[in-house]
Amino acid sequence: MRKLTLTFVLFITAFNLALAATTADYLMPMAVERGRDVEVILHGNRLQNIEQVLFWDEGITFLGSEPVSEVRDLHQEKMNPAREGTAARLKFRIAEECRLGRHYFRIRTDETLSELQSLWVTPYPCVEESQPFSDHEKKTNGDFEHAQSVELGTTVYGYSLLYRLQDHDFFRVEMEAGQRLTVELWSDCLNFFRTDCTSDYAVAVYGSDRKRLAFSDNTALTRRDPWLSLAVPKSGTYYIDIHKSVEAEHMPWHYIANITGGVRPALTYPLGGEAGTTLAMQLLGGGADREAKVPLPKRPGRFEESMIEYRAGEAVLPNRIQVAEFPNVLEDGKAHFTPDNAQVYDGQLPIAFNGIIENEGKLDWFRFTTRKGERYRIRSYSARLGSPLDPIMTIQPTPGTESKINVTVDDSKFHMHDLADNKNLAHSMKMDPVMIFEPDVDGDFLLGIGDSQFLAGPHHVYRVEIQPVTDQAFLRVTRDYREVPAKREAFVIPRGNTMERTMQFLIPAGSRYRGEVEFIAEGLPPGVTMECAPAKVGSGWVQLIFTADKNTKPWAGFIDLKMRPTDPAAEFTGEYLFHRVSDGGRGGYGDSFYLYRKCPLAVVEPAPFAVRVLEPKVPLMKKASLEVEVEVERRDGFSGPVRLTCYWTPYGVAAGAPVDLTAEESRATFALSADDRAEVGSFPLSITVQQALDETPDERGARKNGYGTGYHYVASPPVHVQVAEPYLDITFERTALAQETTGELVAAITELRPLPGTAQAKLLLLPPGMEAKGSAVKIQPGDKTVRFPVKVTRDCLVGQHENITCEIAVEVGGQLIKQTSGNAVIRIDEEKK
Amino acid sequence: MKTTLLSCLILTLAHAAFAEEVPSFKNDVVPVFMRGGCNAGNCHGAARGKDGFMLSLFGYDPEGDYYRLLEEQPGRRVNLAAPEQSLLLQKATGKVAHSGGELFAADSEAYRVIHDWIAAGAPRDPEDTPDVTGIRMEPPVMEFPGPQGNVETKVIATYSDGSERDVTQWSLYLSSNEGVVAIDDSGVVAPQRAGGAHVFARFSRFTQGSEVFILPESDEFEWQAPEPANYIDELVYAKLRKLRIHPSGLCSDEDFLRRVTIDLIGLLPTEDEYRAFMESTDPDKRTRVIDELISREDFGELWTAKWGEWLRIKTDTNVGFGTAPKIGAGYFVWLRDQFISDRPLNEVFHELVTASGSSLENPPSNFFNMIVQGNEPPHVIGQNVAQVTLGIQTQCAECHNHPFDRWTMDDYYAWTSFFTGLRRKHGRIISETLFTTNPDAPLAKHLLDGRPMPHRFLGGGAPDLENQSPRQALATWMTGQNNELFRENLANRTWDHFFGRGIVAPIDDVRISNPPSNGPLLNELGHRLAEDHGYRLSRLVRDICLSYTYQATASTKPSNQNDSEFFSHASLRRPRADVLFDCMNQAMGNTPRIRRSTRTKAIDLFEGGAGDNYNSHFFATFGQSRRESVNDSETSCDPSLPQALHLLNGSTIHRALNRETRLIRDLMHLKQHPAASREIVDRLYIRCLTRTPDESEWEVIQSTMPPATEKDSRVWKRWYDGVLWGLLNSSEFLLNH
Repeated sequence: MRKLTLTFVLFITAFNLALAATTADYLMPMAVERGRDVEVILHGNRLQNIEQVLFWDEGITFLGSEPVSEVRDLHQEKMNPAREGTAARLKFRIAEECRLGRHYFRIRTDETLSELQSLWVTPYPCVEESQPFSDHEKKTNGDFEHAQSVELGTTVYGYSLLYRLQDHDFFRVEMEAGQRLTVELWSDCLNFFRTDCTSDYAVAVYGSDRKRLAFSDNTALTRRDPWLSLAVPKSGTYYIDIHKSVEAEHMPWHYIANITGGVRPALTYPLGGEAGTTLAMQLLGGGADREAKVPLPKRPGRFEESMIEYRAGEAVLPNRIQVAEFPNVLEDGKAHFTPDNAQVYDGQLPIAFNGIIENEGKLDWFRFTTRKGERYRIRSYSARLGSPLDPIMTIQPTPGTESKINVTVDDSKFHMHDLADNKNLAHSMKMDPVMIFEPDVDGDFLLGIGDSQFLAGPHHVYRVEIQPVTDQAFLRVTRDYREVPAKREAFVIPRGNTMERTMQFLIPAGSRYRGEVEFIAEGLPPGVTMECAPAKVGSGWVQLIFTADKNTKPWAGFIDLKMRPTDPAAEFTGEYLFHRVSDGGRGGYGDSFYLYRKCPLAVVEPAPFAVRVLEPKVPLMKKASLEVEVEVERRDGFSGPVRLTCYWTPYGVAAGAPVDLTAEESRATFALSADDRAEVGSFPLSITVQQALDETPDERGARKNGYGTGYHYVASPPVHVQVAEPYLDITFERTALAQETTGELVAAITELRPLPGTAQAKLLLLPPGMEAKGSAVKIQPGDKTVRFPVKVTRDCLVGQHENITCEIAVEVGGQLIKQTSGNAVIRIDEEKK
Repeated sequence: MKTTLLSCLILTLAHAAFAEEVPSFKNDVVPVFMRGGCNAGNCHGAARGKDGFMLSLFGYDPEGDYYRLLEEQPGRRVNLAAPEQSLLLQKATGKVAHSGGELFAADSEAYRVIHDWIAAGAPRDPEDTPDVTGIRMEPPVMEFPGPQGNVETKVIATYSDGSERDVTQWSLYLSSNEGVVAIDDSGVVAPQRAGGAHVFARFSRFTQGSEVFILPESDEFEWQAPEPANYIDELVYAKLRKLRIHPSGLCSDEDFLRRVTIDLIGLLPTEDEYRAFMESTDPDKRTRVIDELISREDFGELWTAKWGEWLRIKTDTNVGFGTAPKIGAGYFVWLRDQFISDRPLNEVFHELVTASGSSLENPPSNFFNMIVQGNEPPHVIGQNVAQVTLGIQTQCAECHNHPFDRWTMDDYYAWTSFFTGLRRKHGRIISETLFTTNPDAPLAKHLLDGRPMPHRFLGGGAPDLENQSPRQALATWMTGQNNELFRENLANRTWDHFFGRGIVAPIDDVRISNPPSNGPLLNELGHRLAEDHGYRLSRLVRDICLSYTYQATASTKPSNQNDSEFFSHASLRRPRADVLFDCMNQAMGNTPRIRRSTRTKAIDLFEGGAGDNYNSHFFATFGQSRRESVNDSETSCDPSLPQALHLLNGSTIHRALNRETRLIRDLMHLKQHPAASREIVDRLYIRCLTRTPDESEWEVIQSTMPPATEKDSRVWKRWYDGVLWGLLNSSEFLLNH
């Protein structure tokens, strides 16, 4: 028992350390009812001064927050006192028309913008399961006898306790014969806890006789999260059992179960339609087998709106429908199972083909006409929209078309998509094949689509869109695993300070534009500016540098980050994309994405320090290094150690490792080096400072937050570093020396630029047993050769030695510039006797 | 006799006529290599040959051998101008240094064959040269009245042109049991002691055997056996009678109850069950117990645990690997449902072999996933499927014709073709894998010449693939009522469970050179399972348990004391690790703590004890399968010193007795001490050994009892703990007898 307790304590200690590094850890409960004022508890750190809650979508108003003195622990077993700043009660007003489902938000405190959290809106009254705070599961809702009574039209917020291998939560509903019982569960999609933890529930429904009537575990529509819908055969009590789908020890799991009496379509056919039209579609499964008409938006809009959510009856989980700028072609009900009798479409592209694979092992074939020189993205929509179909797609020419194109694709990689999807799941997205199609001749081609496992069924719905490829790219925040990654996902600028963020290009397959673009931030609040030098699309990473004037008011909102080609004739669009695999994937296997375009930015109160780089007086030469001086200014009583990090340098330029400054130090030198791939010119250099590792224990004896407060990352205003060609190029002559002799290594000098003064040269990387004689050799302007006297001892191995080089140091403007050059090859012979 | 003489004469003449012709390379020269051991694995038949010269292992590639003799280094190994100067002959006769020494003399028939072939210009065989199509060994059955005398066997090869030839001198010989019967290099059989065994001859790619009976020397054999209870006894007794071995008598009711309960449900009889059975006067009470036990879910669970090992249900924390815990658990639950519902095994395997789709939604689709644990090449899948479903090990034939069985490389790659279309890919979530068959997948290619090998069943014909996929064809053939390999494999595995030894042993190494100890019995069990019982496991199990052969005592008689393979008496068997664990906890009245599961029985753990950190040491020590392969030998019931030490000093018993179980406390609370000691000890005996102690045992136990004046209940508890500890450590507890 003692060992167990110790393990537990260690775990909790580690757990708390992890917590301490974040602002917003988790929210309880995560479900709220539409049209009400609600309160939820946010757990985290330094939550004393919550000033704003920034929601991505409309419909939820932040009414205020207040500290909480007592909270449930993660085991849901007892109430614990809450340390200051670790929990806050958030009050929201949920509008009547608020969109159902997930609402992303970050909170702004006086010092930061928090990690991403989500609040889930339901149309029903929310109740909690009755189990929490009980050690005796069976006395609450762990079996039939103690099932918790709920009404149809209720949202239950439930838990599975930490360490419990299995946890059954029973609910009972009174039903009339023929009435429909629908249970829709959100759990894995909640990403309740921000550590590596997926949750996986199953739902079963039992009759009064306690015989199982329905069961759901994984589904095509919702992946790990189950849902089911059935019409009950007779009046009476029905039991809903929500439990883990497999026995295992896990992190705490939470769920939201919507228990309703409405139909719940598994899918719609077709899976999309043309913008501005009314889509007549068939609802499939879940008791909803009927037709429905849905008016589609007038324009597909940006990609958040390219897919709309449709809810039938009382369904809480939506069906998703693709909205396109082009019309549909529906399969005509005849058998088009071979290329010979493909369904002919003789209209224009783009187009969307729609159908259902109802015959095992069969493909549906469509025939369409294209022209050489056009480029299309042919993309299937099935698995990602909840169809059980795992599509496989073939493109081949018709017999009369002299084309070499004959391609079959099954799955797709992420970059094959144009990323214009919203909130999809990574793996199901990969199941839908995508291809870039460039016809090599004018003529007719055939599109075949079927199931990769040759399966079929009434719900095996597909949609294939053929549309022109456009040149586009996205900018995304790189994940930085070095220090508190979540902190660096948000753009947070302390007033009167600077922050920088490294961004990465994300280029969809088929996009060819690689020209130069400039970076534009629209919607910045007054007093905030952004700087970023133009760059070529795909040229590695770029660095955005934001500066907030000291008079800027604290603020949080969304900006539009765009890329615009510097060539006005280029057709290219580029914008920001938040693209991240959810935290819910253990071992890096994330199953779902956060994916949105609006870029959050916050201006917060001043940071307790600032940093500046002293502009170097000399250039950084290729194949040379340069030391820049950095000065940290501590403010507002802050006197702790800090860490300096250079997160970005251009291609060919490298920065040294992070430098830690003790509390007594305020200046440091930062080493930059360039190789011969560096581009001559100048680049903005900005160094980030944060509070360094805090080793002091807190009042409980535990070590404090990892790297400092973890909340302040400020950067230096950029200085421009020049990259220049080196002064000299050294070419060694091949030399042979014997052991126990002295000699010279002779090198020819090529002056690439006028040497501003006397240079000192010394040999580097000499093999053991070979020594340079004397001090550094001087090189005067105009010298054509340089000679390095060396001594070879008996310890120097006989044979050929390579990679000997020399370092040339020259003082310019009081600053020493060092470059390396040359690659000597020397043969060592045996000692002559 | 006349017929035999005539046929010998004809064969001799035929051989003489054959000998006058130019020897054939593959039919005359290669057999010399095989007989001489030249192309054996430890000589030139090794993968890289020996001393710079390579031959195909056991002559599976005559074309390659010809090339290496004549064309690899022209003029070195064969001298066409002076045959006797050929290095081949000089090495074989020891005239020049040869690692293998002298293999034959210059005046031998082997020398003559090779010399004549070289003298004729070492010709390639004409295209119409007949192939060997089979061999037979004569006589097929040999019976010796005692361990004296010997018999010369003869091996006749048949060829594709219909001819036959005496190849006795070119064949290799072996015995299935050297202690019973020996056979020398010339095929002379010499009995060693009473018993039954087989001798085998191997020529070309064929192995054929003859059955040998050696009777006890005594003439005073009078068959004594109970009246057979069913066909099993008839067939077992027939064999025993032939061998002059008496079967042992029936076991006691106590032994029977304990044995059948452990064997059928993996648990011990409870005290109530013991008393009810012992007090019953019903003459059919054994039958009733068997039927009752078979009807329990525990029966299906025990077989699920066994098949879970053979099918390698094993999971991985790397969920992307395709064997996530949820997948394994779902597969196990599906399998459990099949056994509990007593679904016909042919249906179960048909579904396993043909299953497609999601590993989560359609658990049987994990068959090909788990059996190889991941993404393995088709030939590995083929090997494992053959071993599990047919009991055949084909892996030798991947590189050469099987040396001790009939399987050729052609068979191997034609079988592999069934699995080339298997395809696995990730599904909607990372832990999901989708399985499918690509009907257009290319056929497996032969290792030697790369030719595509059309589908062919092992030991069967080619499938009709017009209207079905290769997997469907395979499943239909495999699970057909008449597929003896499949049905006898299932019957043999079932039999092995109840006797600790298969009729073919090991159970997953069925081959010609490993014949069943009682062929008719295995054949009949397979026949009954498939045709009479519709592949329902419970019915075959019932037949077995009702037989007197199963109900025989472990005590032996003089005539059967050496028998270990003909089932004349019960054998002492240590239960599997999981069953022993469950029985031990049941005896102690303990509900064990099992990590990562709410199950309380080890046989209910979907991947064995692999995930149970609390008890994994017990499972490992007692030989639980690690599921690293499909080999049955991964499960070991052999005793070992660590097992004894674990029971004596290890945590399993001590933790339960000291901390977890309340059994002794509860017993003590019910009764007064020491007056009730005998009753409590009786109950402990019944819980552990399904019997009460006899008086001599009681006297020993009583001698260790605390004094009657002892009032400290802790002393009494320690004493009862000691009694229970002693019982649990006794071989009578540890062995199913």
